[in-house]
Amino acid sequence: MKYKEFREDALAQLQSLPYETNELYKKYSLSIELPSEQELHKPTSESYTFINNVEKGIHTDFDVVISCDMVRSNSKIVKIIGMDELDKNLKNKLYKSNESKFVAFSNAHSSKALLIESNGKKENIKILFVNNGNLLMQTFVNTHDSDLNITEFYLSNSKQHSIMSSLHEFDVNNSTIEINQIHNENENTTLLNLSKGVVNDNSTLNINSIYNGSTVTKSLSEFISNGSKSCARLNELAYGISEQKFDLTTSITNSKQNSSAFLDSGVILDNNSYCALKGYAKIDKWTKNAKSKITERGILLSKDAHIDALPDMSIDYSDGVSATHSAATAPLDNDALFYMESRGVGENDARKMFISAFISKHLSNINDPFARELSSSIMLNKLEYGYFGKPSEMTTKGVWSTEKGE
Amino acid sequence: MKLEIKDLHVSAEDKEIVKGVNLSINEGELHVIMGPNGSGKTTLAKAIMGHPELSVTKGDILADGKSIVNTKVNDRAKLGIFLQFQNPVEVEGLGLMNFLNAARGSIHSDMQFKDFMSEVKNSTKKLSIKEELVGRSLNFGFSGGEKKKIEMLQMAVLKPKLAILDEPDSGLDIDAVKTVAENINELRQKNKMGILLITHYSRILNYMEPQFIHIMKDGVIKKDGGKDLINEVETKGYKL
Repeated sequence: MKYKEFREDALAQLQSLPYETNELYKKYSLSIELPSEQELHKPTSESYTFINNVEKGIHTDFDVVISCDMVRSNSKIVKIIGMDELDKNLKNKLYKSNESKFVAFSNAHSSKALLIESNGKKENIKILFVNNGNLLMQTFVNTHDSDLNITEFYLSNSKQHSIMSSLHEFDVNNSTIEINQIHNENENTTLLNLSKGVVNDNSTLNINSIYNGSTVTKSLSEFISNGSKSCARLNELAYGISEQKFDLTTSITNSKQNSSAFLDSGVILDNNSYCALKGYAKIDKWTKNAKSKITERGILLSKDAHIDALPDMSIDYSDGVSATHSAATAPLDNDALFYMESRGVGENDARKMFISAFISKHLSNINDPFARELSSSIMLNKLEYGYFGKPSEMTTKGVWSTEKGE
Repeated sequence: MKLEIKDLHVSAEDKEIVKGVNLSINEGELHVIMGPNGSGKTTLAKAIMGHPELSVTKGDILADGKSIVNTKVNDRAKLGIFLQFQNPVEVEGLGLMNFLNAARGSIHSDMQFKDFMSEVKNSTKKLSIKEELVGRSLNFGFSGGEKKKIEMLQMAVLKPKLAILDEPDSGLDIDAVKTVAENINELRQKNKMGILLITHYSRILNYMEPQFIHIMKDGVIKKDGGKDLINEVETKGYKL
């Protein structure tokens, strides 16, 4: 099926199911009015200023910048293409049908695609996504014999309710790839995050998803360790305040011998925030020595915050399989706070120290120092000042520093 | 510092655990509390430090003559009281050095960073602590013995006026018991630190010179005495 047909099919699906679609829109605030073609690709001075300020504030130049009205790429391995060009450029689309309403939604409305193709390259790429309307993107990463580190920073300066939709597909061959997706969209944003990946022989795919922004986040991810010595490692960290809601559904599959798949989810919730963590691991038949692990941890900072942690596993017959899952949610540990306070640390500082430690533990999975510091910076700003979604200055006083100036 | 405990009654979830304890510890004195499991020793230690889940229902705790019953935990630490935990908590992601430096900043804000680092280095060596432990998360994945040594390291750096040591010898091998005891003795002499040491066993006391021994049972101190009382416990057990 050609991409154009997918799109038509997707639109038809959305139109043919008005009741379900309406429910979907109601639940996740998904509604959209795409700007006209004339409005697209007309960068405003406001966009330039916003992006310049972000780059100055966090002391970096992004290799690729994408917003509703402008694109910029200085990377040789990143192509920005229109959706109608996908058929020419992409041989193995993983989303082969509009399998869910969310996929259909993305296929129906996405306006641009990023194509990252690497053969034998070692690159570090930084991409900035700015949602200044309804930014609906699809990103395709195909690698062979490569060592890539891709950091994606998501912001929004939309003053009205808007959708940030990000669909990713990964096809990793004989490569080591780290993807850091750092979400810090503003409170007007609903984030729809769809990811699918196949990790083939001798490959490692590390995905670190940091959910700090958006009022509503819906994420659906599915990764398959599909080769000998293949490893899919997913690390999610969500920090919610106010009325923020996160619905994170992640599936990992071992489909070959000697494959590994790991999911480590961490959630911190304050005020009235909510998170559903649905991790699912599947180990196929005859996958000797496969390793799989799901860990879900949550800290509740208020009595009105709520986490539903639902790890699940399905294991078919095979020798030497190692599979574990665990989930634990609790308020702040009073004994830990007492311990810290007994060393002279004030109650509030002890509380922050404990939360910072939880954040730090999860961020330590990120190898790229820039991505780690940026993630730390936005999360600690939320902890310290109680806001999110601002492209604030990136501090170097992260959770690893001892003390400023020392 | 002089610590006085007067007719102290402590409850946890409405159950009285400490039922009228009297103690007075002067600067530089070493007091030992011995007693069977469940006698209230650890509850007494935590109550002196101000554990929020324990309530003092009667009596008083005085530091240099002033009541600290309503003083916050961190302020008690700033007065110079230190509690060495029987089971120190593990906090993954919180660097031991970051934590210790924050504690240094709270309790000894006048201590220079280089002096702090020098103290950490010296004490690490004296306590035979593996250097790599200092670079790790607070107590995370440490053995029982390593945790006890890290508690001693914190005490050495924070230089308290009064230390409550809750089973500093448990989980330690015989050589480590001696090392820990020697470090406690040194700090006691150097800083004129008062000590309230809680233990089940006498082995650590072989390397120390306690002046006062108290036997605690059922939430009260049943018997007081000198070092001879340790031998009595060794032969008769706690059925004194």
